[in-house]
Amino acid sequence: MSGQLLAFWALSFVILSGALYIVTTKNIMHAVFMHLLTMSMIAAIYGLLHADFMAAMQVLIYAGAVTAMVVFALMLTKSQSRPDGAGMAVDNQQRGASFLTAAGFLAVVIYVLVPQKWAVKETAPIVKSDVAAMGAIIFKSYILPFEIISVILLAALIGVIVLARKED
Amino acid sequence: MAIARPFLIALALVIFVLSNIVFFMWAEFKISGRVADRLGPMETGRFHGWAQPLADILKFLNKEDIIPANADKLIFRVAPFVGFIPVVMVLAAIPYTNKIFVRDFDIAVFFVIALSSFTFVSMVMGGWASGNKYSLLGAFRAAGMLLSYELPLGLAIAGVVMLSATLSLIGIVQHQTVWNIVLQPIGFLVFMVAMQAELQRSPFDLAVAESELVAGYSVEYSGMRYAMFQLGEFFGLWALASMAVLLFLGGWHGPYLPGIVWFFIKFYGIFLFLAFSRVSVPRVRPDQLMDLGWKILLPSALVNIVITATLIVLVPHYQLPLAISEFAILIGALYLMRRVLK
Repeated sequence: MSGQLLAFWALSFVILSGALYIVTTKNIMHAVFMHLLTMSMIAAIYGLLHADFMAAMQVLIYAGAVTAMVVFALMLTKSQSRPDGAGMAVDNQQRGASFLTAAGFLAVVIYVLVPQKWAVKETAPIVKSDVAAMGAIIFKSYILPFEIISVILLAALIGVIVLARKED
Repeated sequence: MAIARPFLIALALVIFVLSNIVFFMWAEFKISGRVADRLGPMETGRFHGWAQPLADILKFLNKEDIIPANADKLIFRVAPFVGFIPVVMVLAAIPYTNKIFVRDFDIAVFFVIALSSFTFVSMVMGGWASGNKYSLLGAFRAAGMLLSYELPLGLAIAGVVMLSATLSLIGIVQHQTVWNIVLQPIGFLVFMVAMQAELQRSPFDLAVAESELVAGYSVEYSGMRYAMFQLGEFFGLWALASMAVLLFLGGWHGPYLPGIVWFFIKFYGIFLFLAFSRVSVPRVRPDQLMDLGWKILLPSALVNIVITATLIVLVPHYQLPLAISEFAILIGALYLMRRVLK
């Protein structure tokens, strides 16, 4: 077992148990901080794959910005319960429906992924990540989706400002 | 030996930076003392109190590690590390000359920005986990502030990256035949202001404002954990001041002297600027902070990007027109602001 594989399994264990903790804990702040850990470990997996740019983006966006956004969302919510979530349920009591949805999704995933023949080699060649090439692809081949995304984000931004300005 | 080499390099680097940080602390004591017409530390170590920071560090090491009864124990314990480890990791990406560097990252600029976003989380973790109103207020102030100033900081860097067409810090320095401060004066000013806010230094230290919040997110911390927050700030200063030198002041370029000397001359120039601005400008209010960030710095950074991008695309030899238009807009804007504020 190579060091890379060992690191992959260790990281996967932390990621999966972290993700499980996020959805099962009653303490919402713990969930936020565990989210940070999980996202950073996903960045570490990108690092293992020599995708440095993706790793940095993962840290910047998911570990940094999304955690910040969740913290701000929590600041705006008014909670009746205690901050540690004692006596609170983590779900909305619709266990049957959610179980069916999850099982259905799992079935679809298995149906799609299992018969697939994956072109996996024992040791994939390590390609040095090339930010310039990535930039060229985004701004030449995929310029239209990129622009559409920015227009959608701009619309969301303007919408939020309009909604927030209702006092005058 | 081959396995030990990276660890030895890391150890040497951290010791070098730490000894510089001890000097920073002493210099700040002395400068803020002199500006306030005091002498600063004079006793410890006989000569102008040079051993004061060492004595402080020893004191922190010996203090009891108090964890409040109300605190969320685990998060309270972990928070200083979440802030400290990433800023130390940033050191790996900073080159000092084109020979002396740890690793030439393809994405060094991004690496530094991405890792510095952990500072915010460590402050929120520490402030929330303390179970104290003042710490929570400090943490939320820190959150709002770091978030609003990360944007102009990143956008100010974007102009430089567009000019050199690379994210590698060594590449950016090698590309600077003319220092970027001449081509990007607006970007440099935005960077210098946003940098002080990111470092939580006075005049932007309202997250730890002594007169309002006791010590903000770090109220309940003592001993080594408190020292880690403080050291993290100094490591952050090291990283961002180096970034300022590398991105805008031509890094190790300079006549006669060797590159490493030029780097540290510029680096200590930035440090002196930070030390003096800390004691000469009064602390801003939260609303002034937001106004400055969102209404002045962010639009300026955007204007900078638009001008830079337009000239790079349209004009073949864009350096002179770029410098002229940037300085014209800067002087015009400052003049207008003076007229309006009168």
